[in-house]
Amino acid sequence: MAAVPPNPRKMSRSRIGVIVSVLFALTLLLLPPAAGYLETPYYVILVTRLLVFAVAGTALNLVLGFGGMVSFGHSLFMGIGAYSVAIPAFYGIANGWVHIAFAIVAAAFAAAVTGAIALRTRGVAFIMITLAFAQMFFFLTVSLKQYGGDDGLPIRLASSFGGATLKQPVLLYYVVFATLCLIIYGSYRLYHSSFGLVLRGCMINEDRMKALGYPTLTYKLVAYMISGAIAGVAGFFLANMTTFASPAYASWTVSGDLMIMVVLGGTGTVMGPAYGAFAFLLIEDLLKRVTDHWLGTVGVIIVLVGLLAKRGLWGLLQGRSR
Amino acid sequence: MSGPVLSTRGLIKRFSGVLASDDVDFDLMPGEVHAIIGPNGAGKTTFIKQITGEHFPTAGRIALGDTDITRMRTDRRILLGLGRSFQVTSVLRELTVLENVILAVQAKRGHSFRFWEPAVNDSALREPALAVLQDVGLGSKADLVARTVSYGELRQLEMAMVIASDPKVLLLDEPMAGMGTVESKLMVDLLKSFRGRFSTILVEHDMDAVFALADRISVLVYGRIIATGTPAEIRENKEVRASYLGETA
Repeated sequence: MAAVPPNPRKMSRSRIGVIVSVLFALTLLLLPPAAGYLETPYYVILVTRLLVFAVAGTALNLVLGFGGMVSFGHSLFMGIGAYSVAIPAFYGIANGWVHIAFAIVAAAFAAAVTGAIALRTRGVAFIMITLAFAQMFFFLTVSLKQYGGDDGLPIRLASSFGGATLKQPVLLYYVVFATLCLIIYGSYRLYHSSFGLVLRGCMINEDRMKALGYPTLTYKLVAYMISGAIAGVAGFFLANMTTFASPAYASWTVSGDLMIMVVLGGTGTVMGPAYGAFAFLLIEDLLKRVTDHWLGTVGVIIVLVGLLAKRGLWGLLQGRSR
Repeated sequence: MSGPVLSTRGLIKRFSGVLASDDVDFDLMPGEVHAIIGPNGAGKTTFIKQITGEHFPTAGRIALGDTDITRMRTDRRILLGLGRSFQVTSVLRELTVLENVILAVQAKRGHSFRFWEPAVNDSALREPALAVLQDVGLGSKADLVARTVSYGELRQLEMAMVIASDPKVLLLDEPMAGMGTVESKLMVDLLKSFRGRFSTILVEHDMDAVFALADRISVLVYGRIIATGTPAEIRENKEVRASYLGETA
């Protein structure tokens, strides 16, 4: 079938990407016992946070990278996920299945409603409308005084599944890690599936897709709902990690951070957003210890990656292929 | 003989005072290639856009087979069997040649809410797509990214995408536009090989191509069809020669 012989240089470079990813996954798998041995439990919590944002970044990439929908409001879905733990827990419901079901259904529903409106526009209008919806949720949580208002809502009962509760940091770590692996694999399958092909077609030339007979709005809306639901799951994990839900989770800066992670790692690549989340948050963590002006330094690094690597960090590993 | 596969009756389109379509009655018979010619600004594009649904007529009606499509949305018309090519090639350049055709096949298959199996390995999509690529002579280019193939090949791919949806009515809007002599010749041969397979409306400026391909020709001047007939009849028609062909032929 192959019409052209594959470029050997490209082959070896894409193999580098796979090897790096496998080594990376093994390191992550061994991190909790190593941190326990070295008595530095902080690292388990730090990396859990990286994993949570890797899940959210992968979710954003489904619409931003595969479908060309520049959502500047994905913090909305993370916020919904976090309050899906906090509010039931406030009423004494600790059942984790209830929490996660609530997070997925509420985030997907919010995505359906906001997407049905926002997806009628493109470009800057789409960015502004998604941002506006996230801000509306932010101010809603601020005004809900019975749930802590702008002080946030501490979670006394973390999600529990039978005997296990996500309050145990190592358990939470492995659950988030497994979820991330699952979602990356799912996003790989989706990319190459019929649905993914339609979605990528919409990104390249939506009018052409309409001319082929595709009701493009429907396909984009379904992608938006899937993405929102996954970001909701990330919020669910974030709330369990911090045992806290706060309006800050739905702040527009979170949406901006997520976007930076996706672009830094490689927009539209399957693995990129996870690398981007790790790189962004690790750089932030390291620089914060060194200087108060860490944000400026992050800016310089992003500019450099933007100039030097068109497909982000994953693009550097991959050469030009995906 | 059965009735026309596509017909318009009394089609009128007015743009703020300008009459772009003036009472157009048009019939496309099964299996024929019906060319529409006319000077620039004669209303060819406006006529085509009313058939595709990009413009709605001010008055009159359009029927595809027995279905009235006058006010139907474009994507619904396409699923009913209207296939069109574009003046400017608009293939999806970041996808492979095969993926482009698969999208055309997939559009006809109902829904595409399949999230797991790779589309290019699905034999129900892959085999018809590869067959169409063979038809247009792009069989060996299936796995190339569309942006890397030549302009003539993009036009062939565009054609493959149109016929992959197995249209009842094929709408070719200037298929030779921007082509060199050699590429034009290849395209004429390709379109000749479709003869009888599709009912085709051909809009084209290249008169050699029109007279080589068309079974019937309609001449549009100032939004009005002034003559319809076989290529020989049109060549002999005095009114047509005076208003249009005299300048070019």
